[in-house]
Amino acid sequence: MKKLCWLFLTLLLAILVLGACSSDDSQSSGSSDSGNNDGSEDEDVVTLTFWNRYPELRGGFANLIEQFEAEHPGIKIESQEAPEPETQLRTALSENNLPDMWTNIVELSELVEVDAVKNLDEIFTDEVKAQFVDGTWFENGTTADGSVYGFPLASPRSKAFIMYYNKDVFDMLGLTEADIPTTWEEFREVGQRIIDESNGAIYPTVWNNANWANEQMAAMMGSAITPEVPWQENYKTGEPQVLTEGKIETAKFLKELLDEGLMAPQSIEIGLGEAEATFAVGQAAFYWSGDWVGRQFHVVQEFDNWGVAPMPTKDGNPYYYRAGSEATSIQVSNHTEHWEEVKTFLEYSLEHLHETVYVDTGAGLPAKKDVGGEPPFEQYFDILELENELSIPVPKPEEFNPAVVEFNRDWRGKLEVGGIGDAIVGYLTGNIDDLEGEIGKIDQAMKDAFYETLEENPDVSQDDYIYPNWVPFEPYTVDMYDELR
Amino acid sequence: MAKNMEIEQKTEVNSRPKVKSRLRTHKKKKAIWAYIFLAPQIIIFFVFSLYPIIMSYVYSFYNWTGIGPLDEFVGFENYAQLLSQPRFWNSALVSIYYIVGTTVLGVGVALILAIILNDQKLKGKGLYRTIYFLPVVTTTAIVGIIMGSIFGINGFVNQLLLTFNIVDRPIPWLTNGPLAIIILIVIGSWKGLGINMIYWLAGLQSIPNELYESAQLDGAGFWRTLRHITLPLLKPIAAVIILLSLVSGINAFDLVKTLTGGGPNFATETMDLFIYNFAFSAQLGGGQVRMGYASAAGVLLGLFTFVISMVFGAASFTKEIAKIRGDKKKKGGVKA
Repeated sequence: MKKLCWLFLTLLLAILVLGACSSDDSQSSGSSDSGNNDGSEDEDVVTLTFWNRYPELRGGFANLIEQFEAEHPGIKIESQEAPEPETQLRTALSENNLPDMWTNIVELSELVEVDAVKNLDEIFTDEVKAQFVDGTWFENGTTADGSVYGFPLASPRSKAFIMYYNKDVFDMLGLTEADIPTTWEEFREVGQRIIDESNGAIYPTVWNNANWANEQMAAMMGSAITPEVPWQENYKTGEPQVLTEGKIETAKFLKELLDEGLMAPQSIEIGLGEAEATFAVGQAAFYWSGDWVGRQFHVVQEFDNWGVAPMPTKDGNPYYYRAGSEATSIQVSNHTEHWEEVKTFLEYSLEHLHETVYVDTGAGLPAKKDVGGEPPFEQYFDILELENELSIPVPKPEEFNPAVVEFNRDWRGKLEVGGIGDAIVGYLTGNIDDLEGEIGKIDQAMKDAFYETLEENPDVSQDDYIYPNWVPFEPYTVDMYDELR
Repeated sequence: MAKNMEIEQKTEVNSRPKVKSRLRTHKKKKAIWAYIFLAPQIIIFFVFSLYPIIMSYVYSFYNWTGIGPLDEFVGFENYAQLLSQPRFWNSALVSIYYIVGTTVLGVGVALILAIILNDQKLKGKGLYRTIYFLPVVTTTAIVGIIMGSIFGINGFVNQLLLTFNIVDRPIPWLTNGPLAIIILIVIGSWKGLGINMIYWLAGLQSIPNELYESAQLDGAGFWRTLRHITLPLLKPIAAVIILLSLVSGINAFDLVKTLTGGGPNFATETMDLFIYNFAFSAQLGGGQVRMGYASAAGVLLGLFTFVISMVFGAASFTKEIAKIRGDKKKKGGVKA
């Protein structure tokens, strides 16, 4: 009994101590979350909260914030990483507890509809807007009804997948730049050579089998075969389309690489970081990914002996990715209690962010034109050149008819599956044999939802999705919408 | 003297209502205090349990993304769509596999362990019990992450199998649908083994020793004792353990999310993960967040849990209930 009493008392004491610690923590974070002035020591300091969901921008933002705080001692910015960004933001939104600023995740139109996001026209005058790359300003991305709601971060002409090659592996196996494959057949040949000459110790390539990565890969490599479908819509027929020859062929190519041992077997289940590490340590000669990976190699893997080239395609034809696929941007809470301080930060960022966060770290390509700074690795400019070539503006029905924003949300809201990425995951892992059948079902479901919603919505017609003046691989410019009106 | 008695009687008569009223006040005070102490729990229950449950029913009749006003009433459309979608039925099936698998494996193995650990001659029982109980107090998400590296393509298990030439190629434990479900069941069972074992031990220790001694005197061996004494006497607690295991199997979210993420191609997506995916994180996968739809799935999951509890509860306790009814009838009969 005595023992039990002691045990109980000890437990109680431990709970009290732990409780005291946690209550301290929650107090400090609670006050910062609300964006109020902190404690008695920093009575004059205003704390702004900022949620960032892009891991590759972490270091750059830390530098930017440090510089900003040094110049503005009255403002403190608490940056928080968001591992489940959408869940986190939606929860904060429903609790009316949004941070002062965050990087985009929830569709802009949804946020504008509930008045959650601040209009930034005050900062982004026409003169300021002109300082940004063409294609930066688009509906449901950075703007809504012509007003600016997002501080643009990355260039719209970015995020196209490119091929990284490991120069250490090339040197070791006696390969030169002339051996960089441009077709799938050439890739198989050089791949076999890599396996033979390394006695199977080095895989030709490594991949990360995430649904989004497969979806993008199928769209990009597939565009060399079916160029009229840049993503999930065919802008010639004016309807959703995910069952294309290009996408199917690409998925089959990936599967063959895996089955033939030309792709590292762990590719089917590892994440981005592990795939990058596999390449950086020389276990794979090639790696296909986006423009942000250079920074990851340099900072995370501390590996700089690599080069970049376009990915191989079926017959060596060029491929492309739709520019402005995502409006990487900072959004501001419409209910921030510290708009003046946020504005000060955004104005400072206008001058310094793109240089500090993008160029100086090599984390990607900035949305602003003529930005200074010194990239930490020399391949940065090669990536820039490739992205400009591969990331091409395509028609955006939202620009042609703003009613499409809501219409897209409506018909996509009827879908059970949002894309073909998971189907390709299933195919690569051997869980799906009939890929065409599976993608065919998704394709049909998309078409059904599209036409059904079209009947319900008189403000949108199928013509909003048909662009006869669009030629794949040629940038679709703003004035081309006017030709169709 | 007589006067004195009269006075005493009067005082007694007068003091009776006073005592009664005092008692009443005392009772009232007690009740007030009881309600004061109950209040936090009641408030918490209403705010964090009852309100969300009621609201999920409300949301399920709307087309709503979780942001903005509830203005698009769709009636039973969300339910109709759910019931017609293969992905929903697949998640229901995966949940059933998991629930049944973890119950059969977890409860069964826990019983064997409990019988072994209940042996009075066994040394180091405390140590074994602690070892088996450790996974129970380990965070499930951490278990999922660690198991991911153990059962990964390049994980410990595959390395072991390859080193001893048991297999030529690594086994895709987590990327082959059926295998991944089996792994989830094994890990889920292992995680709940300790708590089930404790329940069984409590049941075993409640069986009087005299019964075993008499059985021994009658010449019954281990198996006969097990069959005719232990198992029949464990029946009531078995029903509770199985019911608890079935219900806890419905909440597999953290393990599935961290171990397989519901993949490949939704092969291991349980109902709770299905709800989460539609309620919070569809946009990264190219879809749309649908809180109303997810709420409808949540309501169906709730009903499913209720039905399991009722069906199994009724099935398990039928004999006990009949026995109680029989006893009551008998008593009634004697009185008559």
